[in-house]
Amino acid sequence: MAGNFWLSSHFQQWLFDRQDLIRERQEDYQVLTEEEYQKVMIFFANVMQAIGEPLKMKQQVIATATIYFKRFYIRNSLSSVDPLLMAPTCLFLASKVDEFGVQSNNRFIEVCRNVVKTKFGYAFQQEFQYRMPNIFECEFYLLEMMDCCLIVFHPYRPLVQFCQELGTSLDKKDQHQQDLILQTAWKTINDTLRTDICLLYPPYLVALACMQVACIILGKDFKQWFAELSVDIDKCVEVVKLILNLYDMWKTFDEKKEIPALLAKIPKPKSSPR
Amino acid sequence: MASTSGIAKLQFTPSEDDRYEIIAYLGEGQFALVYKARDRIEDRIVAMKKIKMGGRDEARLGLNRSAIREIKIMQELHHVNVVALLDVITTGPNVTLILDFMDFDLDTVIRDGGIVLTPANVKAYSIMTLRGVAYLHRNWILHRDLKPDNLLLNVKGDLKITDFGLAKPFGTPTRQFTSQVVTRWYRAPELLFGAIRYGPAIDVWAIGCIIAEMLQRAPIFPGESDLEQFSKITQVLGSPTDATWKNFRLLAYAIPVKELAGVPLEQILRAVPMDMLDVIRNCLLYDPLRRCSCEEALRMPAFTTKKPFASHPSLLPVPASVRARIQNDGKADGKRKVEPRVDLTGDRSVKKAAR
Repeated sequence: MAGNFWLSSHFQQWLFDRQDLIRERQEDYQVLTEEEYQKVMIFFANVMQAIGEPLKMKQQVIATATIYFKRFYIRNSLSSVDPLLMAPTCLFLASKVDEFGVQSNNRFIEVCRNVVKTKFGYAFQQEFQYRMPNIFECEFYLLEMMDCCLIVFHPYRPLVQFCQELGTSLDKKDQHQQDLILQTAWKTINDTLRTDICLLYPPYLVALACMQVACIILGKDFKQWFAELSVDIDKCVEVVKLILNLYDMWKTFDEKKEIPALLAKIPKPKSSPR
Repeated sequence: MASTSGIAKLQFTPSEDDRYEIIAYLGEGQFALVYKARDRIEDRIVAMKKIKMGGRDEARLGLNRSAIREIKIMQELHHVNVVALLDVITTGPNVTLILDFMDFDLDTVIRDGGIVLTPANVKAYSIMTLRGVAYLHRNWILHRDLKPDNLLLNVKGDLKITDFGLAKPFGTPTRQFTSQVVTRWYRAPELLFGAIRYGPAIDVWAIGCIIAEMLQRAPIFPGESDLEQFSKITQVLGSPTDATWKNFRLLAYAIPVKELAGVPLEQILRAVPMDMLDVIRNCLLYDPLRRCSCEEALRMPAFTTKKPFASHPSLLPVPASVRARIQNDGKADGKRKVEPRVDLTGDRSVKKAAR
């Protein structure tokens, strides 16, 4: 729903301060450092991406699922629900919410098993053991824990609008630059899903920050255009910094080596009450 | 829960179980059971919509898609003419929506022979409906199932739109929809011809039908089947031509239409002011691109300059059956005055039927 963002549950209930996030994740930060937590989140975002692609889910559905995943674990510790169950559940619910056609259950589980086996075998000792009834049960908890706030605003749409706007300020011969910026910034938005940015900043700001990053990558200079926007440039710079931090971390992050140890640190969900 | 389920015991918001006390069973919807309940914290009467779980559908598909549509859309909507989602609670394995409680619906009013609907009343209902739907359209939502049963009323004279089980966001030009939406009598001609790309105009058509129904006290196009539905429309409006509806023959199920002249609206809706006929005419244009928008309809003379003006909400009719029930409940409440809690409920404790 492309309604009014400022009145939406996304803006009203699901944007946080850094301090909020630290407080909410206390339990997990006892066993994982902040950076390790982010690595676990990156890993499961990759799992969702890998499951979504063979099911031909649109990027937006995967992005929604990734945000559901983060929202759930703000309210709950990683030990409350196995993230390997929560990841496909988020995709399952997001595909219904975004009116992505009906999934065949068998195919859905089949893809989960395959992806876990072939792409992430290094991280899990066992095969993907969950079945649809597990997903249904988990879907219910997910809905509840998100307070039934299902509509998520993404930076993609504002990005397209900003790029069109930028295009009108360019000379005819420079028009193709608009497309280059759009493509590069689009990929940068996908990367922001590997960070907390979507929990901290409104989508339009993320879109602008991603355009700035794209300009840096492509060596373009649109300072004038950015200067004329009436947005809080400091906030925009904060987002750019977070993106650059991610790229720094990525340089040295060896998933295959680190993830198994990190996952081992997370206590397994127990059936008894906490 | 077995530990292999991957889910530990989660902590839910506590004490919600006691917050709502069910007073009466109201009926069964497509995916939910509806109850009337008392909200002990806010001290008000609410409608509880318990989403059915554990049925065959849920076992196969998880949460019902209509329920998800309704939850996701209502969570974001806030307008006086749209039923509000007040709360969502989970009891055991059930999801329950807490909604505004309404006393009756427009269908009851239309069918109640004891009620006189003046043009001023009809204008009031029309304006509230148009405002609500205009709000939905501004927020890129199509209702897709507007009909008198889904326009709920209360004794204060508020009208609120309900049932978002078919509602959908629109505005992505590439996205295709099904044409199997909207209860038949209120279904726009482009849907009957199988359009898979359509917009707010389908809701406007339904509103046109509803306004005509209020004035005529009977559905204007009561088709018994999809095919007959179209002939009912042509009997009144005449058959579409290239001049009145450009390119309609390109639609998937466009049937060859017999040449029919139609009947002037004033002969069907006798004694209806011309300004209201203008509204209906503009809502019931064949070409969806020419059909007026809700906002345009609201700016028409019928709702702005022409007398009679719309009735004040407090002057809108209440069916005798509803009035009687409220009086009975008032007595019942009086008897129960021994309980201190009842005192708090004040005039909101009025109990009514409807859904």
